[in-house]
Parts: sequence; structure tokens; C-alpha cells
Amino acid sequence: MADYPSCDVNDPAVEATRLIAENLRPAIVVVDQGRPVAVLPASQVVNFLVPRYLQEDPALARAYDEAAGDAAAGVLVGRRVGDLLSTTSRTPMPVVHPEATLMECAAQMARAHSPLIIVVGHDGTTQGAITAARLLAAVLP
Amino acid sequence: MELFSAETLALVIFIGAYVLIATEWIHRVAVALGGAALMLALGLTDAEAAFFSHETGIDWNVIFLLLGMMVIVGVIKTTGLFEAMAIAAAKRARGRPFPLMALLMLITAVASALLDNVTTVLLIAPVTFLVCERLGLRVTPYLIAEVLASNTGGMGTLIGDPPNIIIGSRADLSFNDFLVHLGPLAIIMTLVLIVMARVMFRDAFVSDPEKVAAVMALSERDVIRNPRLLIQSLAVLALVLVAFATHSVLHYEPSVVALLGAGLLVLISRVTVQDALADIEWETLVFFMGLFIMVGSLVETGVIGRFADWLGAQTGGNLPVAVYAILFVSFLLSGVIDNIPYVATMAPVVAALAADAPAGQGEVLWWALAIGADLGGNSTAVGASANVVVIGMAARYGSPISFWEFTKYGLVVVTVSAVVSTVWLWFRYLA
Repeated sequence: MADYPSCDVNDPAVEATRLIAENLRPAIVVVDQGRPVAVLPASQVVNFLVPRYLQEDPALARAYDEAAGDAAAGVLVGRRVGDLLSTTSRTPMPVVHPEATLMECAAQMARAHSPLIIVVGHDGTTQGAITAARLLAAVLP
Repeated sequence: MELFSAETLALVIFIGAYVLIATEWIHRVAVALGGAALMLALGLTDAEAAFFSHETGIDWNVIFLLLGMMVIVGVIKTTGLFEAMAIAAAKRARGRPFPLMALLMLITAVASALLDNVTTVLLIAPVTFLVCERLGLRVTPYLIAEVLASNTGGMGTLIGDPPNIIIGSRADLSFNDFLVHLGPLAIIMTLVLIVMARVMFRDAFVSDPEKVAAVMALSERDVIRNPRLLIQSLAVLALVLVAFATHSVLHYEPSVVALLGAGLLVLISRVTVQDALADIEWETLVFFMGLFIMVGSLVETGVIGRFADWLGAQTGGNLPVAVYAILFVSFLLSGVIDNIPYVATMAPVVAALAADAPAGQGEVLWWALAIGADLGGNSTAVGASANVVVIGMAARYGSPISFWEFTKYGLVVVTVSAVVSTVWLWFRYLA
């Protein structure tokens, strides 16, 4: 799973969003100088796209036409991946070592409310990532 | 000889509670309840006076009027009515900045007269962000203008601002009394405010005609979440207002009308009891109860009577001097302390002064208190609940308003309000 999609913290936000959308991923790993620093869930990107006032008064969103919806991604232009992480409460980075048990992975994922956990070697390098779907598949009898 | 007289003890507890409420070192509900408990424990008042006396106890008319209106407002706000009205206003203004601001201020002022100020600004602020963002306008001037309009419009009716509810109950003034005596001033002040907004926020009225289409594309109809509930809510609100206005015929207290209205709305709509009760601000109601007991203790121990005598002596029994003293002190203090405890405290003082005034002329003292307390809240960022709520929303939505940014406009508005009110009171009651 070493090829799990990741973005550098300084990459354009549009690139990270495209990575999530085109690969149908629940989240991507954000790295800084090659080391994982955060998990960026797709829901956090959506959170960035939708103004806070619409989140608090969702009925107002009905007032928009489809053209306005199409233009929503405009807020990502000129932003970096790091901006997506800093505007909302950052998801704590869920990390496990390669020898972690299934329940250890599940506990980390649940604690961080993350759809993804990163597997990190003892030297701090990323070994891969485990998605919630993959974990659930392993849990099922 | 006792170390402290009952008067001194009551005053010390009361001032201590006031300091804690103003500084917010301890939650205001805990302070009000703690103060009331101390007053009762030390025998400065008793259960009979605290719970059953109209003059020196919890004013249940105020509590249940607030409770009933909170239920009604809680249901109305789920309908999307105010969001739809604001979008319709933006489209009617065809995206032109000043007409847009004027219409939003008018909607806010009228809504604040019928509902409470905080609910009104909570509903109007998000849609203001939406419209301003679509037009590429800076939202801060619009939010400040709406808050100022909310506090001004709320002055016009019995139910527009909590201080009015306290005054109405303590002075036995009806919905119509407020409408006749303060309604015209609220209208005048709202219009003055709109003119002032044109000057104060002139830098904000830079529009981009190309963005108007983005506002015209908004659909106000789609915001109405439940048309059936909207009709039911408006019908009940209309009935409640008619019942308030026909008090002299029906003889129902405003609190009874509000409770009947709330019950009727829950009965005819599909709102669950849990949802209907969800928007009741229990903290506010309990705060009022504690406050009433504390103020009642001051009355029971004679502090209020002594203060009223002193104030009466200072004004030399001169009604205009007393009126303007109350007006200006209320304007000043309401900008820095919550106007609810202020009015609760001043109500028995004004009642005593009004009783000493020449027959039939004392009522103007109550209007001076209401005007000063309601409009004085505009002067600073923390002067009224609506100010605090909108400033908090602005920060959350990414357009923070600093204390001084609000206050520099608020002080100008309050100065003009004080001048207009002075002239109004003179020609309407004193000349």
C-alpha cells in the first residue's frame, strides 16, 4: 500500500481535491518533506468548499442555482493543501506501526474519526495506509 | 447592635452580584441564583415575597410571556421565512448596495419588533453573508447596520426587547401603550438610522453590476422549508398580536396570550413537544428569576425606597429633570452593562418616582427608561445580546468585527438617538 495517494503540504489544493475525486478515495495522506503530517479526509475538503454560514443554515443552500454549485470549487484556486488543513479542526494523524493488530488499527481509526490510518515504519517513513473500507472487510467474518 | 443592617447586607450582595455579572467571572445564571439564595438564607426576603409577591418577587408574567414567545419564535424560525424575505429584498434592490442595506435594515427592525432581537439577527446574518458574497460586497457594514436596526426596532413593542417586557409588567403598560408611545419613535429612529447608514457606510456602497445576476438567480421560494408550517405559524403569530392589541377587551395578560399562542401552535402543527421546547432559553428564564428575587430583596429591605427618595430629592420633584436623568443614565449604563438587570433594578425606582409624579404624568418616566435601555445597547459591541451574537457569527464566518469597529459606529448612533429621544420626549410629553 506504499502507493496510497498523497500530496505535499505545499501542493495546490485543487490537485489534492482532484486526487481524492478521481481516485474515489475517502482521504489522502499529506506529507511534508516526505514524512506524513496529516490525513486530509474528503469531508474536510467539502467543508472548505461550503461557507460556514451555509453549514449553519443549510436551507439557504437551496437558494443557490446549479451554476453557483459548479462555481463552488473556485475557492480552492490559489490555495495550498496546508490551507485545507488549517481552516478547520485538523484531524489528528492516526498512525500505526507495521506490526499493529487489527483492533489496534480500528481503535486508532475510531479515536481519530478518520477514514484512513497511516502505517509508519520505525524510521518514520510511510509504509502505506489502511482505509476504513479495507479494515471493515478484514473485520467481517 | 447588629454588625450590618439588612439594607447594607442586601446592597453588598447585590453590588457583588452585579460586578460578577458585568465581569463574567462567574456564569450570570449562577450569580443570579447564588445572590437570590443568599438573600433568602440571610432573611433579607422570604419565600412568600420571593415567589408570590407581584411587587417584590419573581414576575411570572415576564417569565411566561418570554417562555410563550420563545416557543412561537422557535417554530417560526424553522420555516425559512426571514431568509426568504432577505433574498427577496436583495432581488428587489436589484443588487444595489444602499437599497439593499436599507431593505435589510427595515426587515430587521420590523422582525425585531415582533420577535426577539437575537433570533432576528441569527436569521438575517447568514443570508446577509450569502447576498454580500454574491455581490462582492464587504459584509461588515451590513451586519453592523442590521444590529443597530434590530435594537432600534425592538424598542417599538412590548415584546420587542426583554426590558420592555419587564417595564410592561411592572408598570402595567399594555402592548398598545408601547405601540402608541414607543412605536412612532422606533419608526423615526429606524428612518434616521437608515439615513445615517448612508453616510457612515458610504465607502461600502461600491457595486459590480456584473455580479447582480448572481443575486437575481437566487430563489427565495426554495428557502421556505415547510409552507404549511409557515402559514400555521404566521396565523398563530397574527392571532397573538391581535390578542395583545385587544387586551382592553379580552383582558388576557400578555403572558397568558403568549402561552395560549404557543400551545395552539404546537397543537395544530406537527412540531413535537421536544422540538417546541428546544428553543426555550432556560438559562435566560432562570437568570430572570434570580434577578427578580435579588431586586425584590432590595425593595423589601428599603434600599430601593431610600434610593428613589434620594433621586426624587436630587431632581427636586421636577418631572423633566427626572425624565432626562433616567434617559441619559440609561443610555450610558446600557452600553456597558446588560440592560436586563439594569431595567429590573431600575423598575421599582421608577415606579416610586412615577407614584410621586403629578397625577397622570408619571408614565413618561417609564418611556424614558425603555428608550434609554433599549437604544443605549447600540453604543458598544457588548451593549446588547444581538451585538454579541452577530460579532460572534462574523468571527466564525471569517469576517471578524473588532470591538472598536462596532463601537465607533455605535457611539455615533447612540449620540444621535439620545438627541432625537430628548426632543421626542420634550415635545410629546413635557412641553
